[in-house]
Amino acid sequence: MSRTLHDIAHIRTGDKGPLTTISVTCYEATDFPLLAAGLTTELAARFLGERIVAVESRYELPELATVHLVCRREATDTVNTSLYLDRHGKTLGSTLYEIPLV
Amino acid sequence: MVVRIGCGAGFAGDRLSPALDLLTRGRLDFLVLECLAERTIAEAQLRRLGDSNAGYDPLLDKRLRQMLPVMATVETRLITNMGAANPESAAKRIVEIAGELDIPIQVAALGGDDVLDLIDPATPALEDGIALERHGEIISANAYVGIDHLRRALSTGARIVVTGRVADPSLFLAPLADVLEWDTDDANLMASGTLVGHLLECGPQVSGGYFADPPHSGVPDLANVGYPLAEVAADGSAVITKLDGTGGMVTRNTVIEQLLYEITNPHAYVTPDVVADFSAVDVVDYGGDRVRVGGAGGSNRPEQLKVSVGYRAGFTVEGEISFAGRGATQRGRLACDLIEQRLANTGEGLHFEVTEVRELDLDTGSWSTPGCRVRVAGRVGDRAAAEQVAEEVTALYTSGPAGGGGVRTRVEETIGIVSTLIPRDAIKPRVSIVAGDEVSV
Repeated sequence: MSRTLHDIAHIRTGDKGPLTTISVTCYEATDFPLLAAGLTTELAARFLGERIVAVESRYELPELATVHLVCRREATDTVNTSLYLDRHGKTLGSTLYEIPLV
Repeated sequence: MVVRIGCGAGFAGDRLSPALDLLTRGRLDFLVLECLAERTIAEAQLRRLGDSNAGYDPLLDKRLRQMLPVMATVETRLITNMGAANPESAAKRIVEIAGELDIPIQVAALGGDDVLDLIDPATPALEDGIALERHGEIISANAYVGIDHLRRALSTGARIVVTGRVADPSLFLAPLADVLEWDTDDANLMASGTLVGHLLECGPQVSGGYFADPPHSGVPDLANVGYPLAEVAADGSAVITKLDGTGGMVTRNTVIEQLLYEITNPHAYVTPDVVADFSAVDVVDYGGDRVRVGGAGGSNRPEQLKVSVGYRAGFTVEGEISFAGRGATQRGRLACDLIEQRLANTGEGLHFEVTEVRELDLDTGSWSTPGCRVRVAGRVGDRAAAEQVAEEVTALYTSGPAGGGGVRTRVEETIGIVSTLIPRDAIKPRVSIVAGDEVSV
């Protein structure tokens, strides 16, 4: 069976206004090159789906074995005014676990 | 010299007993309860509009009734933003409770973050560039104040300091800077203390909470997860840990995950006290739930502070209904169509979510055949229009597709939040001390 991000990394999602932050951190720091190569902005945007308007920034943090994404939602999709059941958008990041490793 | 500082709550709804454990066994210099977020301060502002004595954290009574008797037996000072929209009333309430329990205590309230009179409603919001006032009727404006304000309240010597809107990491940095006598112009020290605060401020999120992903990644005894504490040295380095005998875990991975939580730029995390660089923090796992962090960099504090502006954003309505078994998806779609047709005149965009649902038998692990849950949500201008949406979802019981059940509806007033900036010099701290029946300013 082919490996996915779920096999090497853990993900936490946060929210700040209409922004969603997603950190993807390797369990083992030695897997960082695999993560950095596999988790592109384009793939992230595709897996995150329509609720994310744009993946605005992608930070490679080798000291922390992490790729950190900052994404934008619609302007009215904030924790106070969102119409989604998950109004923070806290479940969004886990959708990246299916990204295949190359 | 090492300062021991713990976090007993990472949000308003956090568990109560771990804070008591930290207070009882932690030998802490300071315990922080961080209970205020963009959502909770908006709700607090609404409560204060309805009652000028209200607007502080609704769990304040419950938490303090449990904590005050323990505080009488230890030296730990308590710092909390449970004052929310009304820190002075919160301080008075704490002293009242302490009086009922016959525990003499001084409480300092830190206000002054309310800057409603100081902002220009025509200023564009940081989020979308649209004038603040065009989002809706503005009801509140709270600045994220920093350690320069909080240290004024700490310097009163009160055992408990209750605040309004203070930047979360500042709740931790202020006592650290005080006791360790840090030069507030030393941006690296400010960044180091901010790092400690940022790691602790969400409570158990650094000690095994929000991390378990079984069976892939397990967390031991999560049911009894211990809330975190830091042992902070004068050079700004710190060991993040938790109490012996508690569940959860503090590892390199749990620490890194929290390190980046809600950080929109790892190279420049802006607080009222510093612009911190967390991108290359040194994280060393000593084992045994002890992780050392150090090496946060920084540059000097910003001249402008962020302000959360609350505006009336109408009423949010939610309604849900379930369908089970063969054909459930088609019946769910039909329910959405019916709601759309029946509310065509509402003139507002409704949001639909249809989720496939299979029920898991927790004993046998077997799944039911798939059904679906339909969710309708909308934000409308007045309560009557919101209730009409809820009524139409409820009416699907008799006038909807076959076999619908489990309707739940909810209508609530919504306060939206947008942001602006304000010169830090424009904001003056307001410190008052409450002890017994006396209030001094």
